[in-house]
Amino acid sequence: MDKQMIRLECKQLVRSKWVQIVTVLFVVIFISILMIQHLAMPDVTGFTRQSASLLNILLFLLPLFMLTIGSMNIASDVETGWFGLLKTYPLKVRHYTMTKYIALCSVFSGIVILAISMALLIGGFLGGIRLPLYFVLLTVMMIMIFNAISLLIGSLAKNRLHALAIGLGIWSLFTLLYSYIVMAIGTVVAEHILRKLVMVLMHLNPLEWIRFSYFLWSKQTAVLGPAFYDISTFYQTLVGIGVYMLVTAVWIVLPLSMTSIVLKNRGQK
Amino acid sequence: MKNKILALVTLAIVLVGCSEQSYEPKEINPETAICKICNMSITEMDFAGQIIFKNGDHDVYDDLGCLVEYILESGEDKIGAAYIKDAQDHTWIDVKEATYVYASDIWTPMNYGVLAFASKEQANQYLADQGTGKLLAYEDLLTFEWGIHTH
Amino acid sequence: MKRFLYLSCFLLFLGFGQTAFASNDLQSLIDESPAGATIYLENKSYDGPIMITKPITLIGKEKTSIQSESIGVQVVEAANVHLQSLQFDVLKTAIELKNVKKSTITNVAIDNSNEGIRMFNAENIHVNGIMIKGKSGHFATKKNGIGVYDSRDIEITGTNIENVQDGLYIENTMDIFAQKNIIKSGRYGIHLMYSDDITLTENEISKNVTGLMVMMVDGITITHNQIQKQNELNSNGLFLYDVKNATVAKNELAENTVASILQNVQISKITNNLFCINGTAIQATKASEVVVTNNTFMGNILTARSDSTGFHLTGNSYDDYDGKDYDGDGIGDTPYTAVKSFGQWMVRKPVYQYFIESPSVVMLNLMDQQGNNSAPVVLVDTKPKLFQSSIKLKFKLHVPQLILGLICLIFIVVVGRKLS
Repeated sequence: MDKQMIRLECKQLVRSKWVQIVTVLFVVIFISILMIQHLAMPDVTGFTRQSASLLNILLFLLPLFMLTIGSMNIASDVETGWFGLLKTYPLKVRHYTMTKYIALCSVFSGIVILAISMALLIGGFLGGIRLPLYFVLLTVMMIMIFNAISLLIGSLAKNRLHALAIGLGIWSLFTLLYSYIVMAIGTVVAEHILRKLVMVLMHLNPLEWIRFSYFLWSKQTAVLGPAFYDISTFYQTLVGIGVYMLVTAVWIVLPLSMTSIVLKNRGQK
Repeated sequence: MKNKILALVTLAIVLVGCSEQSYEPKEINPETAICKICNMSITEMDFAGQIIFKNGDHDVYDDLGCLVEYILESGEDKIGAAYIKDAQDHTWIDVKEATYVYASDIWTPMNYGVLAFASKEQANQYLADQGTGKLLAYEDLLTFEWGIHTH
Repeated sequence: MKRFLYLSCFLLFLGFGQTAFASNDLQSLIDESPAGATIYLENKSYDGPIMITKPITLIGKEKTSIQSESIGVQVVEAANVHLQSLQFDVLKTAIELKNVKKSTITNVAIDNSNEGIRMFNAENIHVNGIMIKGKSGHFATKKNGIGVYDSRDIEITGTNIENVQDGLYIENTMDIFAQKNIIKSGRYGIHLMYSDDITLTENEISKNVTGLMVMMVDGITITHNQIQKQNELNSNGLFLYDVKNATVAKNELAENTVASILQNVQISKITNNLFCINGTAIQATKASEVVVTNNTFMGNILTARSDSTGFHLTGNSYDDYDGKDYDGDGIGDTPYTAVKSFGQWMVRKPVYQYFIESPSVVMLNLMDQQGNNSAPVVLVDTKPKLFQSSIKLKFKLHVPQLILGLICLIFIVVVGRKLS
């Protein structure tokens, strides 16, 4: 895992048209939502429709971009034979995975930093915008989790189109279908079962986990309602914080190590 | 992914399985509990009531009157069991087995003025001590005019 | 060390002597004074409990205080009693009135008592300028700021109450007027039960579990109040339960979990209020006769949710109204639908609140709006007023943010340049 490789990967990513389009799109949307919130609403700290839409932009767009770009990136390496070529060098698959991962994470962090800096710049002329630190940290966490997942998708895909298809499928599952399924189950089962189900499923969908983290970090768990009081208070205890870190770490480490395993098996074929 | 979904379904079934049990009264969390009918937070635990539904859900009520209002509104079909706190030792008793005492000067969270007792003897004892009041059975509660007395 | 010991002994002695003397002093002063007398108190601490049973006026100075392990001042079977400029350092109840008429309590401070003022069967009482600060701790362990029971004609103005169970608790009382009270950090700001003919105006209610809790009331006017930041679990700004003839006008309800809950409300009107940045603005069950008109809804996550009977929603303005006004009469050409399927689910199963404004629900709401051909029957405003957008571009430099933004931008540009 040397710096040269990571730089090379970054270079390739930045030069890709798709990444450039995504960057512009994200920056524009991010800034406009932030500006609307800043201009239309009085200065409030609570969970409003505007802060919800800012969160939703992150939850909607970032995973979409990451899942497609990351997965297609690896799949194209495999498709074009580049990965096969690399395998002939004395290079460990784990290193290859980590190189990809770090490059993707840095490029996406770059996009987010660009968006934030533009927002700060514009906001600086308009009396300062509110951009809480936990929001930035949440974005970092999101980048780390979803890039790991995108690598796994890429390693499983046969070619780039396949990677795109799986990526979009997983994305729609995480963002929309998952919630709809839970909501639908909720209409037939008793309320206490729905409550337990939601609490379990919250950990099994990284997007839900990040959304829950948002409420946890911004101390707005009251928004979720009394049914989730217990779990919210649990995650504020010392043990809870430990479990929280563990779950988050699993969401990063598990896809990464699975990627390595899958790629290793591929090479042996 | 398929395995994951399978695991989820198993988990859900286990969860459902866990909660199928007899209708035992549940503990009330004062931080989150509010009366299903009047929305008041349950600060006076000694007057609280609860209903355990046949599907395992449960609701809490701050006053016997609210609990009865819920039963009158929604019927008894879905109700597994209903409990009210005993006025003397503050343990849960089944509303159908309790004996009730009404007196206009008894304070309860909604001021409905009805207390529950585990046995008829205890209720009679309370009546004798207080001097005023009326003995009621569970059936009387369903036709009782709640809250009218104070106006 | 020795000197300190002497000193403390001396102080202790002094303290004992003085309070013991003062105690006898005040009670006997009152007992010896003729009915209707005015007693001016000194700048010192008197011992309670004090019992008053005849017309009398007590006027304290800046540091006049009354100490007691139980009740501070008890007034029983009397009229024309006036308490003015007193401080209370009392364990249980600072002031208790029983069967009292035509009396006033003015400019009183009550710290760390279990209960501030309590009155039974009182008539024509004016309470003004009271500061009540309760003990810290959960509200279930505390009592009310001002409790009024079985009374009539009570005026409570300019009080400042915090950290108690209910700021004002009023039960079975007629004719209440409460104005310019500031009540915060309690269970309920103002809690009314079985009371009639009530006016609440210009009060500031914030950070309570429920701002105004109005139960079993006939005839209430709520105007010009600020009801804000009731934003905990189960919190709401205004709760009307089993209420008749209510008028809620010109209030500002902001940053509440639920701004107002109407339950079993008859013949009532909600007009000219501002509902701003609440989780839900109006939640209603059994309130089909309520008229909601001329209000402004802004930045709320859900405007309204209700049972199948709904309520009358007409002529309000909504910031999320997306219709147009081609005829230019200030009223939108298409109806505004406040009801959203997700909101209705939340009424039925509160657990659904977990999904509030999540990406999936936002999508669902969008689909709701598009596929709205089978028009819902409830919560439709056919005459929505156009929302006056308040977007103002104000140029004001925020230098630290500007610099930070610039540094980040330069960093990114430099890195990007190197890579491409």
